[in-house]
Amino acid sequence: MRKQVAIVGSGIAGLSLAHELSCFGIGSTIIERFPLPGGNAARFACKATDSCQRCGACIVQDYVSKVFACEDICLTCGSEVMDSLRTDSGFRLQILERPAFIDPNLCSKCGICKKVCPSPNAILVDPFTGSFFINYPECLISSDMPCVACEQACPEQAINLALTPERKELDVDAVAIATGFEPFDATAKSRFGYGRVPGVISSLDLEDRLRRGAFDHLDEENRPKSIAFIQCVGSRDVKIGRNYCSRVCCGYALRSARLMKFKFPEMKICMFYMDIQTFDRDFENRIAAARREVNLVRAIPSEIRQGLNGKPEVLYNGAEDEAIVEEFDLVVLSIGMGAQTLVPGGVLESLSTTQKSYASGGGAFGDIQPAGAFLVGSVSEPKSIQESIEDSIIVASQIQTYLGDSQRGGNVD
Amino acid sequence: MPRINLNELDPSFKFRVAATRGGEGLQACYACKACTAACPIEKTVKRYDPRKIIRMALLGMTKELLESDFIWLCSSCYSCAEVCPQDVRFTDIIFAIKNLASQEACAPGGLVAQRGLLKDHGRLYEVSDFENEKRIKLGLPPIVEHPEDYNSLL
Repeated sequence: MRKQVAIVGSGIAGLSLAHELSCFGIGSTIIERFPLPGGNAARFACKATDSCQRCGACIVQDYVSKVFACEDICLTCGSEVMDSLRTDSGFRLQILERPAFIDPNLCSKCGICKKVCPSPNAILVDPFTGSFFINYPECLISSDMPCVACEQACPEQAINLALTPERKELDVDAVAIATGFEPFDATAKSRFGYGRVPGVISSLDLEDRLRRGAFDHLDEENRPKSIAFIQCVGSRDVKIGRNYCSRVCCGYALRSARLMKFKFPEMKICMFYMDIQTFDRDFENRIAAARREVNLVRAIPSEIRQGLNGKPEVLYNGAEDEAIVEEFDLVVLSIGMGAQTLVPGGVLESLSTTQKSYASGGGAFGDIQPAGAFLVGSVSEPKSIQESIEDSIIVASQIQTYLGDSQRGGNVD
Repeated sequence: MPRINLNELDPSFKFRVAATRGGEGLQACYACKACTAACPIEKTVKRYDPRKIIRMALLGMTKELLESDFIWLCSSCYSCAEVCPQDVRFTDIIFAIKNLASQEACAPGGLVAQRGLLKDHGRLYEVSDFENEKRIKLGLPPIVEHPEDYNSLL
């Protein structure tokens, strides 16, 4: 019989693992909680200047297309693993599958539903296809509020909020947990003023603006003339239990900075760091190029506050040991990666990584890896897009070996 | 800037500081300068730079640190400890360095004299008969010194 693997999460790790498994002739079901595939990596913007900067953001869409085209892969968005049990041959998962409240065949993508929706993140737009989705956890009906604003406003009658979720059972031979990471909530470092000082944004907010082309649409007067990047926000910080390097922030901040400089050469860009750690193969060239374009300042600011004219002010100690209060139009906090708090239910829950095990590296999985369950991607430790794909390739072959062994009746426990 | 002679450095000094109460976090420092940026003393006295003091301790500049006047300038406001991502707790480190300096008889004369006053009188200002007579005239009870209370704390 054909082997089946359940993959929890459709981020870059889940997608690439499904693709790798299909190359081995192993079928898979991807269970994605969000209404859209792609996970965190789908939120990133391409950072190519006049040449590719190897950020990897475009690879995600490639994999989404590959997965859609592959017959061996079943992608179920808007579903969650509520419970999981061990069976003789593998795992039995209880899956809650939410309906697509918006009928894609009727929807004319007019966007009226998004305008009338009282919840800011409840209706999402697929950045690639422009289709609309209802993000159930953010929608008011998830907290039992009888809101039908979108349903009534839809001119095509494409929305039906009365649809109920279905419970399904899925028997699989192996499970791969690819639930990824959770971006650090920058409000937890209150001295950097995120959510309090206007003009202080997180790097994910910047990715979002870059992807929407928000800076290109601004005229020269409203465009920020100076940008500060603050590194290690939510990384290498003992006090918040994150004494580890998130590995990706230096890379993406340098790429974003160089992209901004390329688009708007008159822009003044400062990057505040404690030390630059990137793991890309052409790091030396990149840092040399960045030094010409970006003012790299080795100092972590003590505070970011709102200046008298409303712009953010950064307080730091300069290269000449002088106390500096510098005003910027935009401050970008390079937030790090944290362990995923949303975990599948049942026996798989105990395998999931906690913040503590994330900090010590490797995850709770380490020595007690139970047969048939695998961790893939950034669920166990911070990984870049590239590293997640590499991890998928390794895990795919591990799964193949495992399934081959269990087929021959070998001792797997 | 005075030259540093490597032969005069004391590589074991950092271990001495780390072994003193409060100095444990010394070797965790990333030198990110957040403490310096937050320090109110550094704003007026440039010689007092928390990051540099940590560097000096790590390099083993024992003499320069212990015999300096600037290690006594800390206001113990804990701003540095508040902003430090590595939980180095610089305020406690500077306490440890000051304790080491006291042990090596490097404390400033004024502080040593104050300590003597505390030891002998249990307070920083000696209360003599002159003050007590005045107090009695004003109908106030005389102040009796209890230096033994202070000494029991030591």
